[in-house]
Amino acid sequence: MAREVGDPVALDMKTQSTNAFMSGGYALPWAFSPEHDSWKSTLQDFVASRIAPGAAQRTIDERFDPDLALAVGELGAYGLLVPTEYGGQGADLRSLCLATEETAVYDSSMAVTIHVQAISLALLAHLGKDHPDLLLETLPKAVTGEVFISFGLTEPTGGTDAGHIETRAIKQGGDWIINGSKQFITNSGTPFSKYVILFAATGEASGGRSPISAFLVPLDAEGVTVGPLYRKLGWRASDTHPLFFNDVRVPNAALLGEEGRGYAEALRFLTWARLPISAMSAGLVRGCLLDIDRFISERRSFGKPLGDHQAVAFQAAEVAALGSLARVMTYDGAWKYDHGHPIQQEAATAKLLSAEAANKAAYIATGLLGGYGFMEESAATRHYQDARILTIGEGTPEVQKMLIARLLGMGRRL
Amino acid sequence: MNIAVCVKQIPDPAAPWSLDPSTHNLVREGKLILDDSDAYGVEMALQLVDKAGAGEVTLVSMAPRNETSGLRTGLAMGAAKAILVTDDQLAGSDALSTAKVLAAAIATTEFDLVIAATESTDGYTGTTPVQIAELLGLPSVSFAKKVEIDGSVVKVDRQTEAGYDEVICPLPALVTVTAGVVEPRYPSFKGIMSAKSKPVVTLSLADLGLVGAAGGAVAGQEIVSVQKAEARQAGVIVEDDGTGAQQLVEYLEQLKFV
Repeated sequence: MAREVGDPVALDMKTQSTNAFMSGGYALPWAFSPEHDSWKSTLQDFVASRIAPGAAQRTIDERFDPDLALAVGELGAYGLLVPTEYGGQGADLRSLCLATEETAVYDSSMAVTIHVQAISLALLAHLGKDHPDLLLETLPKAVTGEVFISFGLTEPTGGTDAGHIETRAIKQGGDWIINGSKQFITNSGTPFSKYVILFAATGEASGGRSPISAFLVPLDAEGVTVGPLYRKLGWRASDTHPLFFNDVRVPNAALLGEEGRGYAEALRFLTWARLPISAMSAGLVRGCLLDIDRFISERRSFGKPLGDHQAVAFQAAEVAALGSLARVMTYDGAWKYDHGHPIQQEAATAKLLSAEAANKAAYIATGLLGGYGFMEESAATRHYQDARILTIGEGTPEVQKMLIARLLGMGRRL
Repeated sequence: MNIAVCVKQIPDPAAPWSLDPSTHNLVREGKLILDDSDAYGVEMALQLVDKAGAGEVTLVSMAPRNETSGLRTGLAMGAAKAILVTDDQLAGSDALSTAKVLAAAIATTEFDLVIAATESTDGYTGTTPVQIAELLGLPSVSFAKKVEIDGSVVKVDRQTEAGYDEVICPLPALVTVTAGVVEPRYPSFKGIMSAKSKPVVTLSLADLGLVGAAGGAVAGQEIVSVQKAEARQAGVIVEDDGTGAQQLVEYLEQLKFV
């Protein structure tokens, strides 16, 4: 925002709270370098001035904003985990978690847009590492946001049983012919959406399930149909569509990684992807706390500010504690990943607890705002809508508990 | 086109602040950040160098304790290097001392243009830039809302109360820019990482030959007391009993507004 002569300096978000916890969340000095701090500060300034102002209206209108998406690309958020030789930032997981966390303080729709693009690009770089020409052709423009690459796994009959894939790719000469459909595919219908990393069954089933391969499929290939925009409860300003594949022909060069190993390799590689979702939960909780703080500071009842009533202040304190939990769990896992430690337990635990914390925080926030917490223009209402998917996407609580139980050595049959 | 940009590193305005009870100066302990006012000058300089197709932007700052956090932000935006003057003797400097130090630091680098903000967010004297110009023997143009380089001159639209003046000034020169001049970019992730390795030259008063000529000991300005601003008085409430408009006009006439 331009400032005219004599006007006070625009401090954007920083003017909203002088409380370090409110503006930055539970402090974790051990987890971050000075460069992480600079990145967080840039993100906060960007979110406050570019993302926050229109977040409510975009959500109400279910409107994905292409200009905003491009501005996020200029900042460098999409390619954080892409190697520098492909135009990426070559950054660590904490940097991506900071991006999704700070964005979700105001706009979970944009946060998931970043998340999906970032994990898709990282996965493409990983699965396609034997195809440098393909990566050089696709990744540099995807890093800037000029090209979106979506992640096509979920099917109408899939869900938690993601390995049950009915989309099939059959080899024909030197090409693959793909038939099937995918649903709930984020970033697949934007003006920048050019590719989908598609998971399809290839070959014959052995032991009950067909091997699953990954392909990079252009969305403008003949036979690909991008279905209509989903009307969603939350993440309403993100772009989500079904995809249909009818005799889609792609060359063998579109096969990512080893034939029949794409799904297994993607699952193994993407263990960390639960942590940026956990970070979104932490950001959403802070967004709830900011809206609570604004409301209970301004609103008076029985002759004093709402926040001076212990029954209210205790609920705000609980939201703060939930946010602390989500933040600690997120960055504990991300720090360990960045330092080469295994994170299966950390990722599942963080995702489980943070997503549930976000739902509880949003429930408290909407309650504290009373009638305003039921109005669509209210931030608390938006957070309430956006919180629900956090316990569903990237694995339900039951999936996380199953993973944790396995790591405890319980129930190999789970 | 080489441009030196004066940048101030200040305590975070969002953090609690305090004044030293004996000197009445702002306490500058802890991390300092780039003054938001200076982000416009950095951006303007980057755009001018980019348009010129050659040259670089050098940040010049004076700060305690070798503080570089704010400089790193400017470097992350795209500046090539920074000069930091840091010296315990600079504590308590007034605007003229600061100008002497910054002018001497700027003189250590090649420049065609010096850019500064109209005033800092924490001090608000607004006098340092023109003093730097005077000390360097440069013409100065203040309150620029538009800056263009045209060969050997700088063309400035200078904000005034009535509109703006078009000023043409020979280079080298010093220009102070308002917040309306350009929209500062956000440091990208790449910029933040590359800023780590950009050079920051640290100089002392002795390096600049200013021992005894600048700093708190020779400050000609002293803050003798600080008082809280008076709380705003309640305004006049005009109840419209049918003569509201007339009452308003009379009130404005009384204030000589009409």
